[in-house]
Amino acid sequence: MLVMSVIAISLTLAVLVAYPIIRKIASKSPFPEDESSLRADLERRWESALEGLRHAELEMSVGNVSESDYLWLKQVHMAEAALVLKTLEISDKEKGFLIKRIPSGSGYEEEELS
Amino acid sequence: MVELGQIALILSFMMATYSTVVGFAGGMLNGRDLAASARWGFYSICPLLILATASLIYAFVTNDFSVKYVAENSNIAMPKVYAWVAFYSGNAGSLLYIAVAFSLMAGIAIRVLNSKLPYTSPYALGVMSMVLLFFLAVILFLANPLERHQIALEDGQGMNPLLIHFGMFIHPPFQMLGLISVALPFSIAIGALLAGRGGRDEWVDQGRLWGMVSWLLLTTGLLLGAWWAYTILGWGGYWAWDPVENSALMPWLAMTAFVHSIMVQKRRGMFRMWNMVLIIVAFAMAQMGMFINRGGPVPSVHSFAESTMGWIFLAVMAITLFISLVIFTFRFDTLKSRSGLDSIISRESAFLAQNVLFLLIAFITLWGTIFPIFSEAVDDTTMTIGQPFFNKVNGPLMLLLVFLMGIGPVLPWRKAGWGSINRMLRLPLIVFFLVFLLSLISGIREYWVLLAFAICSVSLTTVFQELIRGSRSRHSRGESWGIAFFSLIGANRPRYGGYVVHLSIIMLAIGITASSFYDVQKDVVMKPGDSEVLGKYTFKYLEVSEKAYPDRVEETAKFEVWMGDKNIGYMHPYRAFYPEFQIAATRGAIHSTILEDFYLVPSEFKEDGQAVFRVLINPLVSWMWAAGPVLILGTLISLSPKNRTQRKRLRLPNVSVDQNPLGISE
Amino acid sequence: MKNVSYQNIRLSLINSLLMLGLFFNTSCMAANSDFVSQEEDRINQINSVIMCPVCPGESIDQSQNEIASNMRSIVTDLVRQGKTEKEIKDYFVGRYGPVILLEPSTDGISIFVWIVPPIALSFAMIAVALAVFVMRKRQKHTSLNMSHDVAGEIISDEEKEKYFAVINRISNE
Repeated sequence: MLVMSVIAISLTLAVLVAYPIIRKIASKSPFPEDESSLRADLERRWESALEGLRHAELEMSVGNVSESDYLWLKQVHMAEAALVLKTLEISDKEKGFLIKRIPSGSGYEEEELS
Repeated sequence: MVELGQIALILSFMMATYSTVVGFAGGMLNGRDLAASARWGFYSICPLLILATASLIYAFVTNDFSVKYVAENSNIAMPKVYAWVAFYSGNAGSLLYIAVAFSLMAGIAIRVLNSKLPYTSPYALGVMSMVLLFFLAVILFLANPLERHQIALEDGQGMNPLLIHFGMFIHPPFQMLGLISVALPFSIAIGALLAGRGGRDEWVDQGRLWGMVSWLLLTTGLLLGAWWAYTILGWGGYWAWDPVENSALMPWLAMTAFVHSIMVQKRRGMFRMWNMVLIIVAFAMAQMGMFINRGGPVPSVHSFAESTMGWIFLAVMAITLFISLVIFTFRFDTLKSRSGLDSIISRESAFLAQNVLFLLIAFITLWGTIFPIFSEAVDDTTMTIGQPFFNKVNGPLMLLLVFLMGIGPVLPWRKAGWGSINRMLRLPLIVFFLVFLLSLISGIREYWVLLAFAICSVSLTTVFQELIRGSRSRHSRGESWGIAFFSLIGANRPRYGGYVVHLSIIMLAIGITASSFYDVQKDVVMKPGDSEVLGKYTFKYLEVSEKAYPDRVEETAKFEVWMGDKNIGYMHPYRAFYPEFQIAATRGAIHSTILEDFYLVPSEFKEDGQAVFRVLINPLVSWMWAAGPVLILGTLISLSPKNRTQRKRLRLPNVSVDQNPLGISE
Repeated sequence: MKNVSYQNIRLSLINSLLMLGLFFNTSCMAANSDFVSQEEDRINQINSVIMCPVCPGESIDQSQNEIASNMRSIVTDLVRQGKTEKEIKDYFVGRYGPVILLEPSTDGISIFVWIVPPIALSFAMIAVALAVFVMRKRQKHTSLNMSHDVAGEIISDEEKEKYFAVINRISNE
């Protein structure tokens, strides 16, 4: 009884780990979205810029920040978001240069994009 | 059954080895099939370990004393329900518990990671399997809970009586879970470093998620431990700066710093190196915690799982730390922050100060905990460093943290002009002085208490100011007060969830301050029929009854208690003596109100009918226990995922190069 | 402006109510300290800094052990004899060695226990100051502290209008 169950468990395990390799399930499926791609990175920066905007609006509406601070924050975040959009639009070789200048979010160096 | 568990253990060890090797290989060779195979291998470990645990529990429940570990930690006389949890009362079994719990959590984490960070997850998987592999190796080769005796014993030695308490069901599981779960964000961070795929903030969301899960578990473990100590150890306190308590506090401090500073990386792309350092330190401290708990060199009341293997944990901690720092150094140049500080007065710099303060407290705690080893090695003097040292040194620093907790969250990100500072901090500062003065007038003369209450009220004011201003602004746009309040929280969960957590920390701080400065303690000798008075409480010792159980003898005292003129009923503190262990465990009786606890605990029943009781009045302790649920609620609020409309708003507009840019319709 | 002050009045009201609860408690507690005699307070105080020799890490105040309770009665006796805290501590140190005290003394090697925390604190403060300085400098150097300037330099006014329209549309959804 014990021997049988041990054999059964071991076989199940062997099948479990061999199956993905033999049937190549993962490599047959399309490549998943890359978390380190330029697009994913822009996505993160976009999110942080928009969150910043939303945050500024919230602080303003509840009366936490002064008018001048609010305008400054809004301007900064608008500029960041606009730079993200601009980067999306332009051709690849300029991207490295541009994305470096968006101050928040993660960054790419030029060589990583070439 | 035991043999099956044994084989499950061996198989799980093999699977962990497999997924470590194949996981890293899959990451490095970018082999998606390999990574998938490693992943499936890793998933299979959890059921295998559950099988092993089940066979151990089965051995406990059926009193199978041929198993060495069962014989050491259980006996026939032990109450039956404890057989289900006795398996983690000793060293080997607690390791098995850690392994099975970690395999489950890591399995879930890997599943999430695989969809969110598909290219980083093989490395994270490799790191997690390595952590698990270490535990399984220790279990198999050094402390196997399923090992059999040559000869079967009639009865076992039994579980340490101090563990026979309801707390046993909740505190150790949470505490161990908390300590090991620090490995999750650690693996994700190290996985991201190893993957080194250009961007550096990929891991932030997942790191925050699992960091907060781990933080929640650690906090729950600590609070439950404090509560257990308060209700059982019978000295009326809840925290004694015992080495094991300290070693659980240190990773908590580091994780608290981490869950805050990771927000800065998410929002600003700053603190990248710092977050790596923090999570590496946090994991090292969690390992340190397990080391000290497992027969470390420092004397402690927690020596339940004592063994010589503490030193292996220490060695592994040193190796982990070394390797992590090597990896960190190799990726050093990619971890530079994208941006700097816009202003010295900003949320970012408050976070920085808070982080450093947390680490400082952790360092001082570590220093005090290990100093006895140090002094013995250098000077051959043995010494003890206890409560007074930590209270004197850490107390003021923690107060400073509560102060930062008050002003930090209301400072705006990036830059705060004087206008904003005025709007946010005027009221809290007014309250600070008001409370200070009023406390002074109401007769408080301890200057630490004055300061503590004033600081707590600053934090309290900022939290309420935020909540009230937020709901007010929504209310003025036409929502009713209730809806405004809840939709405000719902729309900004991380922020307001954080405030709720801060609220619970204030409750804790108030409870701790009040109960450590204004507790009243008295030892009284009484015989049946005597009455005594302490403060507004009058208590009459009616009788003592003795009852014998298979494992213990209980002497229960019966008291009738009045608060002022009001009879508040009977209280039954008791003392249980376990002859086999020569240990007496006392259980206090507590009458708890929102203001104070009246606490009665027997110290000694003498032959001549006299008995010694300790009577305490502990102010505001119930606030501390109430803080627990509030804290959990707050963490869950801030962890709950954004709803779909919120997520949609944050998606980058779907445009590609050279097509109609930005999808503008006109 | 009028609105703001109105809001603050309301806030202060709510807050003072909250604080009132606190005062209530604190005044209770202030009264608490008179419940036991000063002598008893002193005894408890001394008990909590002397370790129980057989139950490591616990003070004799905490421990339920018999030895601890014997030691507690010794402390009580000594206090009643009018001994000072120092004399009592010295008495126990004489019998058990310095390990018996939970609070390290300030002579010999123990001095390090006390001097390291302030040193660490000053290091931490310097580190924070330095980090803030470096981060400030970086922001100035990269000239990105005014990132809208950069945007102005790269993005034409026309584009800017277009982008801002998109951003506004999305963020107001």
